[in-house]
Amino acid sequence: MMKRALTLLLTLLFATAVGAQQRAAIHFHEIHPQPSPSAAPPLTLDKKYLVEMMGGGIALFDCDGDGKLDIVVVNDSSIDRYRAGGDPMITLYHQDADLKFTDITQQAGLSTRGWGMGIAIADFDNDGLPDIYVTGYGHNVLYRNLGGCRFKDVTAETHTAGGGFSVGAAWADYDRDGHLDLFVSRYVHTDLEHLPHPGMAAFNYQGIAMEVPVSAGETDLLFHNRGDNTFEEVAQKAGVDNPDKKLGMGVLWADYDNDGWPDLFVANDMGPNFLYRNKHDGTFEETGMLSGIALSPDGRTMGNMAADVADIHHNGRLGMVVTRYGYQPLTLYANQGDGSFKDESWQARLAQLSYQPVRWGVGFADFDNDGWPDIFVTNGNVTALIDTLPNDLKYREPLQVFHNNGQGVYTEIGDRAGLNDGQMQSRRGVAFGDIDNDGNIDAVVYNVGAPPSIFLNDTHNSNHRVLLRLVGSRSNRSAIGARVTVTTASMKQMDEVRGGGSYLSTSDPRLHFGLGADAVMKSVEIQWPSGLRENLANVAADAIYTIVEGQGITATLKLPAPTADSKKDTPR
Amino acid sequence: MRGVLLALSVLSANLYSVAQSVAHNQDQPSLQQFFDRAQSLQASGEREQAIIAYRLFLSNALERMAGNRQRIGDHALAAQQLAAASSLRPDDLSLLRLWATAERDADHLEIAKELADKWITAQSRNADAYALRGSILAKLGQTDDEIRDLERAVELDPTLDNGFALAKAYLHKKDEPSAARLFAEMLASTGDTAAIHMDIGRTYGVAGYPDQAIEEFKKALAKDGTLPGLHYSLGASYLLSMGEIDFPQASAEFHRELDLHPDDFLSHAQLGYIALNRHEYATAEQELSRAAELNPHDPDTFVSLGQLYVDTSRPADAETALRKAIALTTDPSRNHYQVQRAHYLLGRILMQTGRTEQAKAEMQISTDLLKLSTLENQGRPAAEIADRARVLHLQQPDASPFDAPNMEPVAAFEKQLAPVIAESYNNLGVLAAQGDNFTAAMDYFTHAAQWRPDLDGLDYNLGRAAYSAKAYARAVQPLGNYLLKHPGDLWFRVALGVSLYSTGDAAGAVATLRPMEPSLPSLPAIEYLYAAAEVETGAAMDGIARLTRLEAAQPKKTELHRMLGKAYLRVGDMVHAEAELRSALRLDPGDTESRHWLSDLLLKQGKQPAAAATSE
Repeated sequence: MMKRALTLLLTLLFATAVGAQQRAAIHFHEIHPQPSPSAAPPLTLDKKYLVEMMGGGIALFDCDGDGKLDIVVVNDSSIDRYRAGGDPMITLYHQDADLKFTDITQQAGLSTRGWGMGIAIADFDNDGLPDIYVTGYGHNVLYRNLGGCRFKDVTAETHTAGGGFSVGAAWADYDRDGHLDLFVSRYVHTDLEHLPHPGMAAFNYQGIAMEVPVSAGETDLLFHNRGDNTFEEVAQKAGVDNPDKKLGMGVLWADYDNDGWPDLFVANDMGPNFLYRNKHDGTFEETGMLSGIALSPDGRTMGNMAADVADIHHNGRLGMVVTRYGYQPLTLYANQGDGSFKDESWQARLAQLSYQPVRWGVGFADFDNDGWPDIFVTNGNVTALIDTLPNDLKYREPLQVFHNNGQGVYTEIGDRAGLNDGQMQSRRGVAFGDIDNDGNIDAVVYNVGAPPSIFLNDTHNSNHRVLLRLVGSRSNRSAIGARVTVTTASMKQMDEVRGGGSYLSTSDPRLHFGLGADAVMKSVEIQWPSGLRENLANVAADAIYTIVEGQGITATLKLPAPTADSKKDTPR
Repeated sequence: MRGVLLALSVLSANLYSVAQSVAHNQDQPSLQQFFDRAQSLQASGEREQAIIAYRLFLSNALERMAGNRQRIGDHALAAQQLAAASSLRPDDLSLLRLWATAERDADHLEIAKELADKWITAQSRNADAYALRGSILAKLGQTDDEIRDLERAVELDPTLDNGFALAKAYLHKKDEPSAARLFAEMLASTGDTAAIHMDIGRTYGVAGYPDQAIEEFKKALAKDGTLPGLHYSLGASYLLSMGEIDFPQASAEFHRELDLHPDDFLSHAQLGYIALNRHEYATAEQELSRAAELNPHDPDTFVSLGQLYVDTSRPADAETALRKAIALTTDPSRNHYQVQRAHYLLGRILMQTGRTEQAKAEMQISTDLLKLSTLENQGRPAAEIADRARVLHLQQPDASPFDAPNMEPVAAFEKQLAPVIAESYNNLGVLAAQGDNFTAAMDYFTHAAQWRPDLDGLDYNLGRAAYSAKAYARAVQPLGNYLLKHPGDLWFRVALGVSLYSTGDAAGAVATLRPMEPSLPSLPAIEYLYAAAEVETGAAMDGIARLTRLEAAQPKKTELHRMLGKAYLRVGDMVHAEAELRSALRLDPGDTESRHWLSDLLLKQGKQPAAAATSE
């Protein structure tokens, strides 16, 4: 109690200090709810092998349908521990009242041991309950939600074990048959019995004995949902298997060509990214090089980590942001509408940054509800061993948030936004969602060897906003792939429901739109994956709506009225 | 991981003037002397001495030509020339060394290693031999063996060259402490000079240790800030170390280099690269254009110019620059497959200008080159990467990779020497034949033909030598050529007929010898061969008739009975066949061929016991 009180006091004092300067357009404060989400068993931060460096998925979802977002996070492990059977791959924290989080992993039945890497959440069996897929080293796990935040490991019977060094995962109904399919990327081929060692090219970075990603990778996996709660691995047949074994990282489904079919983006470390165009026949055409997003604008391969998409220019086309390894720019790609992308990082003032840390998780979210998506990025070097180098990026790096000024220019305001008020960490995945259902998008960040950070967005202004929870009926129940276009008096925005993305993480599936000064949405158009189009007219802002396919709005939860009153900036 | 942003040009370049060396080569008194002496010895009948003199002349001439070829980068042809030279002076280890080096440079690594092994076997305490083999092992990706050899080289002869080669190998193996120790020893022995620090810095820089390179260059600067390339090297290392963050420091160094050496194209190129990355397009174009003017053969400059034109929406200029970069890149692996970027950017331009299929082709090349680059990053051996390049059809086209200006005098020199070389080989052949060494003669005449296919008397000489050496396959063509022009030459006709038959061309033998039918009876051996050929070509009855006449004249010749037996078998006359074969066996019970044919005949007639008895 004393510690909590002290924490609150420090936070208030700091908030006051910030207020003395000009408050950023966006602001967060980190909450330390009791009991605190615990870290994975403390392990060394001096990681030597890639398998130790890469994990870091985190997710926000409502496991029991109580309207409050719960948190699930992968647990770190180690080579020795894995050999001894591994650690529980994930931990589930149920959000109780007053923003308390309780570890319910054991009760939930999430007990499979291994070495977790990433998390992708969606209702694969269309029973209305979101299920959890966990990627990992050696094997992956599919947990079926039994209701009430209880889960059962159905990996074997669904044939979704995967294997190898699985990292990114994302759900989508790529063949539009109403059942969600799953893509899994895989990274460096790693054999724990034959790890690289000193003297090998793969085990030295600037004189430090640590693994570098110069070894061969592994193929990627596409699990096609047969509709009977089993899956068939069809990556090769579909043309997305990555036969050259590039080093797959973050994955993302998005309809970039606006043809109503989900396409697939795969970030590859040290290699060209893949952009697979859905050919509508169960197969894909890889168009990364031709589209312009495979390499840097001058044709170099990059250390690509993850990506997110958003309607960045309000033109109904999904643009993309991609994170990369250190000294490499955060890149913003504008969708040209003809299958190609244009690198707009320079115009967006992202390429000129003198500080380019090792970036992992990334997401577009309209943190200030002005209608323009901002960018949130999580950073941190791969191992604390790097800190011995005088000229390299540090292990613990600040978080960054780039505020979109609405003119296509982004300004980094992470410090002023309060993201770095607490202890610095080395971060990986990030998930976004309205944790406290106040209409602002919050963020939960994976910290290596430490509890996750929960950043509540306490931005206060008079901008309106809305959250939309879509439920499919003919389409998949999670409505993944559903595209919503919101039109107000002053703007038109679009987004899609996704089931996984960024760096090995999954965000709140509810779609959030900042509406600026517009209190009414003239139209909310929904293109369901089934093909059904619905249009809701004159919908009021400042609410969380549940919209069921074919039924319109079935539930409404009003949000507090937007206010610019900064006195509301009080942590709970 | 670090450094993917930057293309670092070679820190130093050595360019030799081929004109200078060719001018030396054109000053031929020594070659002329060798040749004159050989001619003189031949004229005076001193056969053995003449052979030695011609071999000396030829090997020196070939060695000189190979040197020229090496200098312009034509290592494959140089290797061939040195192989030929070495065959003429097989005990000359300096020639062996040159040959091994050329094979290494031509990426014929297994051959190069064999030659290096041979050298070491002959001179097990020769440091240069170990150094050479170490360099070959480096290309084969056998780093541990490479280090072992280079350590031996240093142990035997601790020169700076050997030291740096070993240090480079240590660094390639990521054994920086060993390299550092070695550098310390080198400094202690040579003294703490700017030049040695610069060389150490370059070794670190090229091996991917930019921070260490920076420290060394700074030490060099503290002693002598005017060393050519020093400021450039430091600037380049800043770029490798921290990328864009160090643009200001790097830029300052490039400017310092230009203050001292205004025509340093590398500094202009890097300043252009920096300006390009900063989107300072006017400055970028100025610097890159100047770099291109100073060195129009550097493909990297044109890649950067291409990128500049892409960024400034000048697609036509971009296409021209990128195509030039591609054309100038004779080795796609150069600078970590930098040319891949040119193909990619060109593909983007082609897409933007509606040439989709061409764009796809360029993108595919870029993708394939990236695959090779990945293999390189993975430390795969050069040979494996080369194999993969072949599979991906990324081998260089047949067009000469060498600059025309440098190539011309080299080719002219060879053309000038070709007749004399051909003549010398021819004379060697004659001398060898005079000593009944027909195999050597055949080889010499073959070499003569390679240098001058229209050399007078070549068909005559080569045909006779090959036939005399019983190298019938090699004899056929020259004998045939000569006979075409001299159809009345019976010796050649017979030789050709025998050669054709011996190489399985019975029909050719018949056709060749048919004009001699009337005189064949006076040449029983030839008539026998002719008859055998007739049998094999379907004129079996004619052959039988001929063999019967021969047998009548020489009834005790086993081979006549055998050949008749086979002939009768061919026409299905088993009775006569059996009789002839039994006759052959009576004359020579050890005639296994007749025994085999007879046994086979009896088996086909169902006479197993008789066949078995015959086989015993």
